[in-house]
Amino acid sequence: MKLLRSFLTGTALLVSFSLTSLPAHASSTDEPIVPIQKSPPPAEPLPPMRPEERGLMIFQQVCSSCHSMERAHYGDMIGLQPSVTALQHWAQQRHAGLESPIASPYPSVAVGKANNGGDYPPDLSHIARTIRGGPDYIRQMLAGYRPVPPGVTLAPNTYYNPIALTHHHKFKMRPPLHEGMITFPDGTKATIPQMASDVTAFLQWADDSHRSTRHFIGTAVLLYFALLGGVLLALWRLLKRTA
Amino acid sequence: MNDNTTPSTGWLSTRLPFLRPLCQHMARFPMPPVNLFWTLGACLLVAFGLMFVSGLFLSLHYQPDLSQAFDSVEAIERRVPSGWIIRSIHTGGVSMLFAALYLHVGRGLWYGSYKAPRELVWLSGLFMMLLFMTTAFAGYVLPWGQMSYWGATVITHAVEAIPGIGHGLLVYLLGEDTLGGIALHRFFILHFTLGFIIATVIGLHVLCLHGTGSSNPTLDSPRPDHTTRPFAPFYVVKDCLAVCVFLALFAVLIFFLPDLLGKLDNVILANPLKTPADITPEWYLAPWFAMLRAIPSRLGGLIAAAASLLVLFVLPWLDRSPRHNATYRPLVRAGMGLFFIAFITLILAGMHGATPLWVWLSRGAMLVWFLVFLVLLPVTSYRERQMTGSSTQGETS
Repeated sequence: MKLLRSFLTGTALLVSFSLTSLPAHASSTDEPIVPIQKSPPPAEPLPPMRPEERGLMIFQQVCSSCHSMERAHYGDMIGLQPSVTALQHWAQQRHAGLESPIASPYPSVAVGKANNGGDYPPDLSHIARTIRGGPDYIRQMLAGYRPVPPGVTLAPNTYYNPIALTHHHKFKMRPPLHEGMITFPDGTKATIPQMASDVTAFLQWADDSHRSTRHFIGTAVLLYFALLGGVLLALWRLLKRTA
Repeated sequence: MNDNTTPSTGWLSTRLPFLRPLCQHMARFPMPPVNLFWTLGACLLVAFGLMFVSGLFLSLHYQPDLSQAFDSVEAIERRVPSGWIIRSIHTGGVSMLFAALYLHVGRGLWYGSYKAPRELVWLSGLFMMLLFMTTAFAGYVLPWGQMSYWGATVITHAVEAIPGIGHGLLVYLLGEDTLGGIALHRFFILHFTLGFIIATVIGLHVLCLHGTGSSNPTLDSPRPDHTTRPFAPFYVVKDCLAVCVFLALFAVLIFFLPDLLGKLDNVILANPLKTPADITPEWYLAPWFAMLRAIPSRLGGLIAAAASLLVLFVLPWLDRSPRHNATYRPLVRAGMGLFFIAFITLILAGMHGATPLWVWLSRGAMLVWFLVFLVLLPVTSYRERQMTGSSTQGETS
């Protein structure tokens, strides 16, 4: 009995061993042995980023160096940047915490004006809703800087932008976006139109961050009422007939 | 349950013996063959309930303080869990509530629901409408955005037009010379308290209605229908169905079209030094804003706006004809139709800039408003009473 059992386990082990090593065996017989290459692991396809997530990166690295977003706190960005440590790091760089509003980097309005050719960089909390032209304007304006045409003279700290809502295309915001200035982890090429569109998506999100949730809940609510309404309508017609 | 005479045996019925008769009264309440316009009351009740509950939750997080009010609203939108949905119910609900309210009042006007013996129903309802308008105005100030501040400034300064005591009264009401922290706190108390007062007046309104019963829209038709049905279950189901449609519209408004009613300028913190390009009221207060603007004199505008509301209060005594339903009163039908057009014109006029076109349109609309109620209705009612040959027949329903 004991012998039989040991024999059985032995064969089982053998079978399992031969099964697992079978492909290795087969390849080693057909091809010469090659040394194991220390190649990097195959690049995992990075999760694609939403436009507003890329927009947050641009806001963190570019926009927020002049503009505030007073109504939002650093911690509110958790919807776009799930890493609390990364957000904390960002806030600490700006001598703030997760619970502090994203304040202007300038100590006062006067300093902000002095640094920007006399115009104070506006707060971006609701800019997508309040600015004339809305998101479309922001997207086009950010990509709308052009070389100064001949015959136009610009004052110092003034830039030529035919789309900007300003006097004679002379705009005080220095061109914020440059080709390839940001490396997006998802491999998106940082072209100016791409970044302008991403940062606009982010500003829309910052103005109204519950948009997608709202549409989802709204659809569910309407479906519920459609169902309930159907039942009530059937009941009403039934009562109308009987009574 | 069905037998009224058996002594109450339940725990609650022994202690509150009126409870069972009350429920039976509600369930058996005889309803004339009313149409779908009679379901608006139920919609209003539901809208008010939603406003009340969402308002209570908002008040847990709102700070009626000059420096914190705006930020606390932003915090409700961004950080309070589900705060955004509660707030959108509250801000969208006010439009739904007023839409149903004006339709409800319009139904009362068209079908002559204000007439004897339902004067108390009409008066309590009008009183409630005034309370709703005050509440909505006070509530609109609370977020302390640009439009809150400037709208409130314009409207509160209308008080100043009262001769003699105007300025003193304004300062007394605001607590200081200008609209500031004291006024904001008072507006919050007013808004919060009025919610409970309205709840009480709704009770009175329903009580008055149950004294006389709903009016019958078929009485003046060639073939009057005197059959009645008990309120439950037929009208309960009908009201629920209407409420269901009403709430679906409500959901479309707050979930899919939130920008339709939101004022852009109210996401900007109030700035007493910077007047917005155009100060427009919310649509439900726009008719009276248009009236204030249409009269060149401030006092005149105030008097006209007040009179336009007061004239509604004396309606049961201006129109004492035995006929109720405007459908079967050709002149009144035309008059009421004109009045509804005038009302919509005033809404549009109040929401547009004060261009000469809109000012003259609102003057015309005001003229229609007063002519219909002060001339057309009394004259028609006099003629109709002459025709029926009895002036006391109006007392019977």
